[in-house]
Amino acid sequence: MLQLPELLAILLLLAGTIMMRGQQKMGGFLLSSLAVHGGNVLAAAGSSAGAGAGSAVWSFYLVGAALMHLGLYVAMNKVARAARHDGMTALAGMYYRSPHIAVALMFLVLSLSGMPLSAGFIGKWLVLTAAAGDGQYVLLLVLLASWLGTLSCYFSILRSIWMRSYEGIEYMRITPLSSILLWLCAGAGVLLGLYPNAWLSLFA
Amino acid sequence: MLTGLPILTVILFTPALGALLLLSVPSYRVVWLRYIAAAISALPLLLSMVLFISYQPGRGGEGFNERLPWFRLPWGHTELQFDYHLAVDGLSLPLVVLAALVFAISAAASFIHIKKRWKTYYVLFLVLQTCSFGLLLSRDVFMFVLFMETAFVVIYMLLGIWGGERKEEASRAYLNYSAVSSALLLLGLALLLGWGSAPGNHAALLEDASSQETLSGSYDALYSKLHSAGEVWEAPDLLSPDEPVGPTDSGMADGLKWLIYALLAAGFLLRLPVVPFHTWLLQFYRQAPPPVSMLAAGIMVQAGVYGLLRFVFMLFPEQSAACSALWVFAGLLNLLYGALSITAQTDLRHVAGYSMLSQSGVVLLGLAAMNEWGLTGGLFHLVSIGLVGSLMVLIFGSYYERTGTYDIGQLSGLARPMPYMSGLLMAAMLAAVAMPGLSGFSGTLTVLLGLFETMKGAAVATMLGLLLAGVALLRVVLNITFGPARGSLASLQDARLSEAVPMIVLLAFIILLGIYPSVLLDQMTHSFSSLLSWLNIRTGG
Repeated sequence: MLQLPELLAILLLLAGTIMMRGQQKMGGFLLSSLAVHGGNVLAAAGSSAGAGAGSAVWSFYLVGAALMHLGLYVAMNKVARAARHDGMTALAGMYYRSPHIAVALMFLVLSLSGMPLSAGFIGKWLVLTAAAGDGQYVLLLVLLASWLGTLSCYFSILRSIWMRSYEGIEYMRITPLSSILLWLCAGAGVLLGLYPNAWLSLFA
Repeated sequence: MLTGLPILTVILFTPALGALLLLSVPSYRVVWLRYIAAAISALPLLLSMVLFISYQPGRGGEGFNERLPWFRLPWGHTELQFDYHLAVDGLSLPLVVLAALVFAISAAASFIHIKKRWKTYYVLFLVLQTCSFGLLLSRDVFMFVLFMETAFVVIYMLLGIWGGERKEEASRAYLNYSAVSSALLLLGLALLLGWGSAPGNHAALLEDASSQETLSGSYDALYSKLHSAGEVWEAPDLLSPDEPVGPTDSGMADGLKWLIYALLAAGFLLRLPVVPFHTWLLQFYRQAPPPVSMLAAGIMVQAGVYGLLRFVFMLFPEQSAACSALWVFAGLLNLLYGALSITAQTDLRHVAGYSMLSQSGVVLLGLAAMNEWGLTGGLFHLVSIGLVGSLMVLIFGSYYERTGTYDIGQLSGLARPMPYMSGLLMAAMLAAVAMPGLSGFSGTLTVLLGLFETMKGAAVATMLGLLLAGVALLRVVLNITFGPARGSLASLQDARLSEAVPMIVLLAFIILLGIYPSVLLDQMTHSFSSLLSWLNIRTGG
């Protein structure tokens, strides 16, 4: 039987995934991504299999997702300002225009899509294992469907950055402060992916 | 020889360290980038050879077991534990050597075929090499998935950046199939891991003599959980031979076992791939540059079969034996569909793709036989098709570099201007059609022996499929190499030294495995002993 947190998680996951599909604006993309990862946090918080870990699992996921979205916001904000529009096409050719933003964005997007060597990968595993342990098979299927549905959206950012060229400005600069913030977020995602115990053992 | 040296870790991380080193090389130093990458990618080949020689099949990989705790977490009524755990056995060792060889040769082929963004390419290339070794050496489910998914991202990038004119379409197809495959595998593995954390199951686990107080991602722990938790792994009782022997219920509901089995099998079959889910492989061959296509031929298909063997056949022997007819069907479908499709192709890249598809069918048929001949033959043939497929792709790439086309209709008489490469292509095709003295023969023969023992009808159908594939492949080779060389084709240059050396190395391995298959078969001995002993107990054999 689904409890309130699981129901809310399923709603957020489905709504976020549907919103993200075909999203043309960076703002809308960020919002839908927040909804999807909010659903994952709720799924982790409502789990009883992961309850032995105290607040470790959901807080790990929450911190990881918050940092990744902060980094994504900083990068997208700068890109939108430089391009003078916030369409997803503004990300095209970032590899040529600003390689270091492109690399940082890649780490952020990979973490949000649950790919390895990132906080997102560890979080995805823990949430899935918890749902399976609880026998919450509906939630488990929705989690996986949402992951599948959003994966191509996150990878479309990678495609824009690395595989396409841009007709507009040639080179893009960002302030040192923004650059530091962007890299802190991206680096934290990788560090949490490599040493999850640093966070998990604090709260377990 | 290797006392004290964590050789598996060294093999795993040498390319990764090389990738870090390349990051410090300026991107305009193309020659440096090429030579450093080639040298680094060759190091694991030397190390894997040392490993291959040092490995003693009788000791089953003892001494090659490297383990460190990664992270632990209280979980339900138990503790979740993931480790950095590497090990090697007769199943993974041949594939590790094959991967090392294909990567070293692919790095050399990249000198000619990669013409932009060299630094990014070689960094990704070395990361992919690490992932391939990691996938084969990991003994923790968590690590296995980590390397599998990292490889998936890197291959997506390699295809999407350095691919042909329709690279985005091909990379999207690859992404879609791989993502569905990953989702199925994740679901299966999460159910497998999560099963032990439910309170009732935990109690069952603790009643076991080994008292597993941790919920481990270790492959060995999962293996014993499935095969011995709360159950009896009895040896046959000689005093009362009529009594049923073998494993009793593991505590996991039959329905759940079947569900996990189906999810894992479907996930790995998509990666193999099998007909009708093979379109991504053809798009891949069509769009990827030759060095990356070589990796598809020599690594990706092998990774799919390795996953099938390790996580499907080994963990679920009962279900695999019950489904052997389905495995035969999948194998025959791949073999016959691939063989028939070759005859209709006009593009050399599709010929390579369909050839790989039909040969992977032979491997599946070997596994379906579920006996020693079939399983070892399937694994042997897997190595063989990696070598043959890589050589084929390499030669087709060199033809394209000179003629600017992969169209079979536009190529003819290439043996006259390019006798060396055409001779090598003929040898590769003969190996693919199981000519005695070449690696394809030993693998195919062993698979057929296995099939004849258990399924004679399937063996006959396999022979028919092999005959079809052979005729189709030889027709392609004869069409493009013999006859008059048209127009500018007559003045083409034969292989340069940088092309000739990788080709001859691949051919040397193909001949070595053809005339002396024991060099590989001996190392595979005992790889399937647990699976076979289970089958023997079950059948009273």
